[in-house]
Amino acid sequence: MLKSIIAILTIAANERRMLYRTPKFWVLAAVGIGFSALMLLVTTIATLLGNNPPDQFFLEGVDGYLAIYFFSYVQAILVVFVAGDFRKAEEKARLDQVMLSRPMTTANWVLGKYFGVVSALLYLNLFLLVLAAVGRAVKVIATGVGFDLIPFLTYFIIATLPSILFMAAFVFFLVSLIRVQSVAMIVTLAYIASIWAYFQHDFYGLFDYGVFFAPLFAGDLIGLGDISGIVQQRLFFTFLGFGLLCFSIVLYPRLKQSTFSQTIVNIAGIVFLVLSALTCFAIISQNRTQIQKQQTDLAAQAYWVNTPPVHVQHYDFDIDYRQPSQALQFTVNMHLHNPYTYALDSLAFALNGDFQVSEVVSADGRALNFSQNNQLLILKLSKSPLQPHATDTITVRYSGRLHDNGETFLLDRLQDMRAMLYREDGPWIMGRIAGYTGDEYVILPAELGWYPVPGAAAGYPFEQPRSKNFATANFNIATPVDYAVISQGRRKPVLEENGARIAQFESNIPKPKFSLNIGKYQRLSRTFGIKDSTGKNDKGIEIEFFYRKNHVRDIELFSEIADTCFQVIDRILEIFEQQTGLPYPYSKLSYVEVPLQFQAFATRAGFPHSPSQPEIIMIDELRIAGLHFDQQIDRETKRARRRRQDDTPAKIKREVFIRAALGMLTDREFDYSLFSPIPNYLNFLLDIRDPLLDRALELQLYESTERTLRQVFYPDFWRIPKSQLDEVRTGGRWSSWRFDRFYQTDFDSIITMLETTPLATLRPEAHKGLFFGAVDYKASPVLQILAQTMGEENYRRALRKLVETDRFQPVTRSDFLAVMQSESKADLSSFLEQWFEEATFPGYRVTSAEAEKLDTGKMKIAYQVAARVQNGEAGDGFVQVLFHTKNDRVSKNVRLDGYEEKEVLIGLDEPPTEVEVVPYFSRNRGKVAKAVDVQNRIRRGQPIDTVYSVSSTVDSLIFYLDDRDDGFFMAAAEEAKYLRPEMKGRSWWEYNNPLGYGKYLFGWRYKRAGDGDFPARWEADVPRSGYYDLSFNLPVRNRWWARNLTRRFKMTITTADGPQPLELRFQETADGWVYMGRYRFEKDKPAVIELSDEGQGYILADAIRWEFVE
Amino acid sequence: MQIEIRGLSKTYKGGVQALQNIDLQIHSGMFGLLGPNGAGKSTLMKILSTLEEPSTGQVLIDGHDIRKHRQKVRQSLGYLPQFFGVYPQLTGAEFLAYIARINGVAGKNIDKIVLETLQRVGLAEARDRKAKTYSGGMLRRLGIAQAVVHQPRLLIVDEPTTGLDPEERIRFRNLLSDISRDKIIILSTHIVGDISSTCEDLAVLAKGQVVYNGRPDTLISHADGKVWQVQIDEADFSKVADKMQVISTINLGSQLLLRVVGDERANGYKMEPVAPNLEDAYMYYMESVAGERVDEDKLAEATA
Repeated sequence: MLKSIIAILTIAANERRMLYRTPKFWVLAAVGIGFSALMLLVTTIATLLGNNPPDQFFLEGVDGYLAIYFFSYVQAILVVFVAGDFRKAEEKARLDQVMLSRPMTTANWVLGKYFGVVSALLYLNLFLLVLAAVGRAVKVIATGVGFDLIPFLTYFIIATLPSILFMAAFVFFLVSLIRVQSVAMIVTLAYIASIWAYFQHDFYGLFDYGVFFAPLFAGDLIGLGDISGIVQQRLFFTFLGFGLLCFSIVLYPRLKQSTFSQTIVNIAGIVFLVLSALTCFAIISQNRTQIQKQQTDLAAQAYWVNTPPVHVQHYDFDIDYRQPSQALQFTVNMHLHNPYTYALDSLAFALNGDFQVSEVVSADGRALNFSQNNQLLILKLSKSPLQPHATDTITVRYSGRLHDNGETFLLDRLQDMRAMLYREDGPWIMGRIAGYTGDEYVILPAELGWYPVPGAAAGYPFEQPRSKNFATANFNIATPVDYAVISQGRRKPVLEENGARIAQFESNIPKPKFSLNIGKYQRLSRTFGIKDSTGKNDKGIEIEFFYRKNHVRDIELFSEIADTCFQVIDRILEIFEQQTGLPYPYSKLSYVEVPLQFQAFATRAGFPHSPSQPEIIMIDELRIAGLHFDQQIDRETKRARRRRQDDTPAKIKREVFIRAALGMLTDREFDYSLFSPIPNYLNFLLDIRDPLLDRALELQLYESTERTLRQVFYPDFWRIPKSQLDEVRTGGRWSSWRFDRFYQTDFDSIITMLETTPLATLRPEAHKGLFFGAVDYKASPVLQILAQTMGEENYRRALRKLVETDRFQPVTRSDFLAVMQSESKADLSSFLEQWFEEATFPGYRVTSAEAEKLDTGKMKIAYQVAARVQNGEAGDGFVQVLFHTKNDRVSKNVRLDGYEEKEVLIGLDEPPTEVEVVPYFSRNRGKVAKAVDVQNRIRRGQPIDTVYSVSSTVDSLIFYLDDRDDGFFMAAAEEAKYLRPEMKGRSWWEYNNPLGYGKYLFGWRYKRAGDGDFPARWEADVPRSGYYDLSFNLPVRNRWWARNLTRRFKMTITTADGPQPLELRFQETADGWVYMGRYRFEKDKPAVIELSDEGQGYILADAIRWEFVE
Repeated sequence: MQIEIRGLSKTYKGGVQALQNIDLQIHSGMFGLLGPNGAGKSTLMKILSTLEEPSTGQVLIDGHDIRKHRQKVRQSLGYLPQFFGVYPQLTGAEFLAYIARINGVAGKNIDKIVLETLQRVGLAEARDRKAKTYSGGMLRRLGIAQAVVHQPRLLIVDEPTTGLDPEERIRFRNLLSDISRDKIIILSTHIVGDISSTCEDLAVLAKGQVVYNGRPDTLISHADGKVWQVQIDEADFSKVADKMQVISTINLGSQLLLRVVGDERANGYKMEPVAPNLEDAYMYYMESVAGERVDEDKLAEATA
């Protein structure tokens, strides 16, 4: 045995030494290590220079994880090349006969080579970890971030080690089986590619040898969460690897040393394969069991979905967490009310099956019959049914801890929760943790079903979501002394007894759901006064912030501007109140840090949402970990110095504070209103029965506050207030990426769907990402249009009235419209039907923008601006028309029916510069605007403000061929023909600019002048034979690069009379169209304009206008 | 030490019979294995070095059946195959140390043993050079070093001098003689000169069978009175070559001096009897007993 071990180690050491002296090994290793090392270097230097890298880099175990994660991709390929040589190396060196006649066993030989490869790679990984640790140490010194070795080692052991063990064995086996090294390597590479591109985490992760897609990212709060499933998967691959390795030994072409050793190898191979098969079976069966259980659970809900639930008026929660390592103990008193005219003899409550009910007791201490199955707690009251309109109290005792990161149950999401659970792929996997009960933290959003919620657990149809149960509650939560507790209601004094701490909350305002957070948090709080219209303090809102100690440093830095900070928060709260028209209803608002793996999951009716709870916003630690105010302040100070701004330290600190505050309130990542307190203002107070309206209201209010917050705090940057979703809607930066990322669809698919399918008929189950994309895209603007139509003040007043009159009550779409109508006195009866139930998708353009000077007789020149705006599509439209002057802008809301064109007249005191159309939603991408042509002559008169319909200016005898139309071609090099359309012109580049001609996407193409090989061509089908005046669009006035345009555009015009050359001189015209001349064309004969790319500077190709003359 | 081969046969897939019913007894000392290409020498070498399984028969090495006790056999075996290379990444000393270790040489003695072995084969000065930079002769010497570094009792050397220049060849023969004490060295070759100068016993293989097994001088005695020297005109060469096997030809201007072997002298020529050597005897034996005529190119190489 000892001899065998020595032989294996000797062979392994030699194999490793030879690998380390092989250039191929280092080339591949350098690619992987280089990338990871570069990333570490960049983040370390960035940290040293005070330029904070992304928030993720501040988590304690992140450097080690990322280094290994990125390296693992290259390593997979490295293993193939390195291990693929294992049989051929000796043959190539002509040493096979020498080596195979040595006295080691074949097992020693193959294992030695195997462990040589494995150890060579493991050393590389360890080297990377050391690099990562050094980088981390620098960050620790420079920024004071934490350092935790455990995640470094955990990733290494869980992710890397089994990957290498399996992959090397797999390659060994394939090479032994196929015997043709190249074929074996191709098969292996194809396998790797299939994992990356196709299998990913499908099929229960049974193909994902590297757990590339498993959420291994450790949060500082709870580490990795429950990774037993991942450990099981790693065992499967390790066993399979060892099994394959044994069979590689069996297949190795060498005479066996002894029957004994071969028997041992055979037995070991079979044992490992059996173990891997058993593990595989366990994984499949657990997953299937869970899915089947969910299906069974779901099926069991059907009866209760259709059975009206009892109303719980009040909860008394007694929760015992004094011994964190043990099960949580719950005692819940429920004050029940039967709102119906018939008695209830059995009651159903949704309750997470991970919590086991031990007893249910009536008010008089009688034990009640109950059953707990399928995530339901059913109480049998056959002996004493709950009489109509009667009340009663029962007590439920239960205990337990959540399993599987709370994946097994989410209220209302049983049917497709698995699909909802993955937040992201790649290194920034956020994980699948929906709830957590551990030794240091308890995180229980209401959606985990941690307390009995009346009704079924899931299965409510989209059109009729679960009724909200508005209840008051009292909490008594016993914890060890160093734990903080966060739940709904006003905090009462904390009691301390027998080494335990009892936190108490009193929630007198009914709430639709309750949550519980316990953890070793630091707490920061301040009560802010909200002034009512009389200027007195109406009431106070306590803003609390619970965070992990390491995650927010140097808060004291703000102590000297504390008042300013409080003013900022006051201002933010004011904006929320102003924009919603609603007061904040509760006494406190708590921000609680939760681990980064915490998922955004669906709440009502399938809308993705954070575990945002009444009064409580659970914010993932990524947003907090990176808040290094000292560094931010340093950086801003340096920047101000560089720009020679004399910003005071107080001003800089204020800016840093504002940025942090707005960062907390808005979400760039998932569903925008993720971290906003907006649902508290309205959605948690009403039971809006129409899910579309519910989401639209939340999003519209969120966007409205976001626009205002941005404009108030960054007035120089946001001249036109825009929300982040506005940017997405108008094709702003990252728009396509966001569509793809958040909705797994694209802009065009959403347009195509909304053209034919009304918003109200979309369903999340059927349309998935398209549904969420379409709702975010259109639903909120519809309410924005409503607000504009009825007047924003009326809209806010109506919302206020809705909350006052229907508080804690069901609200239908009709109820909503009725209130809107009564407050606006306008007929809005069909408003939502029009926008929600009709398939509309407008597209706009400014067809003309002119102004004339007016002598008003008041010693002042006024400007009469006339802009024509057209909706080029069939559906209804609504836009805001902005008239820009140098220092100001004036807006007008204009409704445009399908294909309608309207002229908007407005009087201005300053010279107008541009007319811009800001659509609420449209198919336009980019800015829709036109420069105003101001005429020099002065007319006597008064300016008029009006809007009226005009007949379309688009005459059928005038047509345009744009660079995006079908008749436009760019010469493409032969080799470029498979490139994307925009690249086909080789050096013809796209440029989007509102000055360019276009239907909905404005811009042109340009290229550096060449030798004439790559002309642009416009080929028209002229509608009738005859003479046409041609014009060439040169929309480049006052553009810096217009100076670099060629002065002569060389063209060839193929007319009915044959080709005619034209040299068009560069000209600036009022409307951008340069006259090319009059030419004769015949119908059905070539009518082609070819623009050569010869010239100097740049050549531009936009649109050609054809005007029929005779 | 003793090797006993009984009724050994090897038939490859496809029915090619490489060895037929071989019986041999090999004792300590150098044992030569002669035979033309394809005679089965390498197959026999591979079987002896545990790389090939015999189809039938038995091989006992010091009483250990080569099929049943491969580990014992491999522990006592040193093998230098016909084609020997090195790991390009390793130096001579590293390579030798590696081989020593996997042969079970204890770690603490490795450096000393490696150095001694390299000194013995004259590579001590080149020990820290990458082995891939060694000349052909140096590589062969490194080959013998790896085969003996663990002091095996059985050394199998397959065509060790092929491609070496005469000086290296002599050096190599001397090296083998030097290390042959107390062990069996099986030298497989088709170069008769290698065996004549070193082996006490030899076997001649032809078409997979042993056609001679005995001492070299006994083989030579079979050719007594069968070897002649004759001076002829160039035009008569073919007439002589048709009747007798020509072993060597020396050009004397217009005439040729031939050394020939055959049972009867050719009539019409003045043929002088000469004392046979091992090459003559091998040629005679192969022609008359085994019925296999060695081609002249091989002959030239064998007698070089």
